[in-house]
Amino acid sequence: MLFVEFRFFFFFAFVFLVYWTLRNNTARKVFLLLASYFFYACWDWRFLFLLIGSTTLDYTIGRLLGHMQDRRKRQGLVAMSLCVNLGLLGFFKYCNFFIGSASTMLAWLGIPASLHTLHIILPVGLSFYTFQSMSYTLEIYRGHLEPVRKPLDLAFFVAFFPQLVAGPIVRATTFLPQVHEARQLAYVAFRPALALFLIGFIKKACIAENAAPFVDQFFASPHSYTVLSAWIATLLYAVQIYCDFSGYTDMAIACARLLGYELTVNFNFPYFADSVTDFWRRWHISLSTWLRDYLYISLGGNRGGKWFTYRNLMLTMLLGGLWHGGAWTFVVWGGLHGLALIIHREWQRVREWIPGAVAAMRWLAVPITFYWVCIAWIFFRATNFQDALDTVQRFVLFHAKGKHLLSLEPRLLLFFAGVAIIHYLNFRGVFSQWWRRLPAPVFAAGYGSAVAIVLLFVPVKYTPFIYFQF
Amino acid sequence: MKPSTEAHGEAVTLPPHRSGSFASWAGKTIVCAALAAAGFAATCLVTGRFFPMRQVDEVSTKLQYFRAHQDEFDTLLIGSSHVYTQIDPTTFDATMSEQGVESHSYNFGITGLSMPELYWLVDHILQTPTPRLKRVIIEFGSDRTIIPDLFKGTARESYWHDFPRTWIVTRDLATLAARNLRNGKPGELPELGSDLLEHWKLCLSNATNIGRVNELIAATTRTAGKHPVAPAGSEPRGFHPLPQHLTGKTLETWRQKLADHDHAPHPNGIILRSAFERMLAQLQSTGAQPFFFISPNIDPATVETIPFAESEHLKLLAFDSPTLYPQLFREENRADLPHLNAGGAEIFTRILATQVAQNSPASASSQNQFTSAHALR
Repeated sequence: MLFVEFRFFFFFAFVFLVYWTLRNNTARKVFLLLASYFFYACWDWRFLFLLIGSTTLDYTIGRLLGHMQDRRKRQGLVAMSLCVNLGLLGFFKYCNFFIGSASTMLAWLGIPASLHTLHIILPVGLSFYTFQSMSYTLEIYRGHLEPVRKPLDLAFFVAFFPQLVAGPIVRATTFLPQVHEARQLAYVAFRPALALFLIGFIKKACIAENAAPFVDQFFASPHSYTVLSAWIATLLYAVQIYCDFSGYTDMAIACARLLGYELTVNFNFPYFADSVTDFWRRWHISLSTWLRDYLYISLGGNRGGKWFTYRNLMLTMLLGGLWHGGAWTFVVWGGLHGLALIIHREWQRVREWIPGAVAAMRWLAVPITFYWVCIAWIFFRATNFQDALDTVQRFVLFHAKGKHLLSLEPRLLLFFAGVAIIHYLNFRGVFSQWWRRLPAPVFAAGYGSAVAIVLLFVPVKYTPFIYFQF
Repeated sequence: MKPSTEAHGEAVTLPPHRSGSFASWAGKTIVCAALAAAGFAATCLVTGRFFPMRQVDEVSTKLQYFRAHQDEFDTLLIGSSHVYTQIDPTTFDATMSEQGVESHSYNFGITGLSMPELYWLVDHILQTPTPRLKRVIIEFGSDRTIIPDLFKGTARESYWHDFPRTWIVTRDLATLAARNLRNGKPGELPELGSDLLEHWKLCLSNATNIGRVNELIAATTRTAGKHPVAPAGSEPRGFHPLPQHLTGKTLETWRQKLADHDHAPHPNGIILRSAFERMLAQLQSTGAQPFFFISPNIDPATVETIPFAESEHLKLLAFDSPTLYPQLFREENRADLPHLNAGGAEIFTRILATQVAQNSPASASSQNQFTSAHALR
């Protein structure tokens, strides 16, 4: 069930009405938990047991951690939680990747080996709820959080349907304090939530979905296309992945708000970042802060020398890349971002010595960052290294033997250009306030009309959200 | 100007607790919801007027062709692939002429045509004045309301779902559900329910113009392509004969079916009575003479069709009997199990034209009027 589908609107309308009709907070949480399990079971009910199993384990470990004082035993417990959670992730997500890589490596060394990959279905949202669940035990271990007394609370936190399958990765410290008190309908800010849902819907259904066919067309055989096609496809992919993922997040946050809950912020105009460091403060914020707090800092962060910090940065980004899926192209994507983070740190050190550098970067920082991010996206999107290198050859070296041009209607380019201008104006704050001052009836009628216009641009069939596969 | 954060990037600030009673708040909310719905409906209605009819393979091509040549034709042949691939208008006109009836016919056969879609089609054909129209020959067998998988996700499944058509489907499905309940067959209700939901979903999707801009852009992109392919339905006078013959396993199945043929009427789906009656009234109001025929198939679904035809006093020509029409059931004349090949189509067209001519007012033998389907067997 996708947020942009008809049936989701019926599902959410039912959940919303029943939820706010219930008076008791426990009854509400039970209802939302059941609704969330139903939502998850719509994909594959068998994986519901995995979700419940993961929650049960972390609840038990959380309770034990709450009572235990012995440092070694506490470390053992948290290690158990990490092993089981990461083990599940490793099995479902990386098993075939490691088998395939080992097979290639052995073949390269001249050792004949016949390793068979397994037919494994990746449970949707596994990476997201595993990270959420792990944040719970890690925060208890660090003493930042008290273990929950009721299993219901933890199950509700892990399974809350708006963020269950593609984030944002909500921390236990952010969400659990909200579940203790009954939410009040009177405190729900309907207008911003509805506007946010519509914005998310537009991003996914009107923009990402319209960019997808051209991107797919190009990346099916990049070697046969021209330099211009490579540029168009790469830029459209940057648009597609941003609108797809941030659109999902917008709708998730809006749904949660309509139910009285606040989720973590996940995007903040990432393509206007003036460095890759800044980009990671604006892109998938819930993942980047998770990796910073639980991986980078655990590795030692910047508490050593320069090279020690750079090693930690690179390791964090490589693992962050691998989090997206079992493929070396994702690792390279992470590596490119790690490299850019290191270069940016070095640049900050040396820029004062280069005359005019600071002034020039005031203009060039945003385009250079965006260009680098796009190069990294090529590896993220390409299905293999050869395709990625073919695209990079066109995008960076402006060299191509292919003759095909993407069959892109020029009016669509105008559409995307218009969208980019609106996005910039939004970044400058043009749209942030005026609609809030409209009288409620005017806003309501305008909202209805806006929805009708948006539907004109919606494709009849949807592709799943890109981040569902992660 | 200070750069803003994205909408969801704002700090969480709770709005002040709303003052006033719950009743007042609920009243305002209902008014706002009604206004939003009104804004939505009005915008859908207004924007819907700017769009031309959806481009639907076969249907659009044939409609466009017919509208451009509507003064030329006096006979329309409408139905599913049994019309599209089995009735040759040239042969039909020649045979009619031999029988003393002049005609100039057009094959309006559409692959996989369903009953409500047939009603939509007749409605749209008759929207433009057709002063020369004398007879409309309709295949009587499309009792299908379930959308074939072949058309899922295409404009073909949704284009005819306007409110009148969907309402008719709803009424007929409800009638059938009630009949099933009376007959103690509640097991079929879930299927009927999901069928109904699907029709309303398509109707809503049509009424809200979902994806119309995208469709137009896609159509433009296709047209700009370097290798244009002739659209289905663009054949001369709409006829598309099937060249192949029965072979291999299909041939064996055919022989088996022919051997097992029991002449008993077989159960069919739903007769959309109200749709049919309206369509009939529409045809009669133009002054054209309607004919209905059952295609030459083994075991066509007729358990409901024939009693219905009798109750409506329809001119029904039934070609489903291998005993009466053995030439239509010979192996060498079949393309596959449900269809005749080009040779079979030639024979069938002649038989059909002869029977139509004999029952047309201009014919000397037009007194041979019939009131029951069985009378024609």
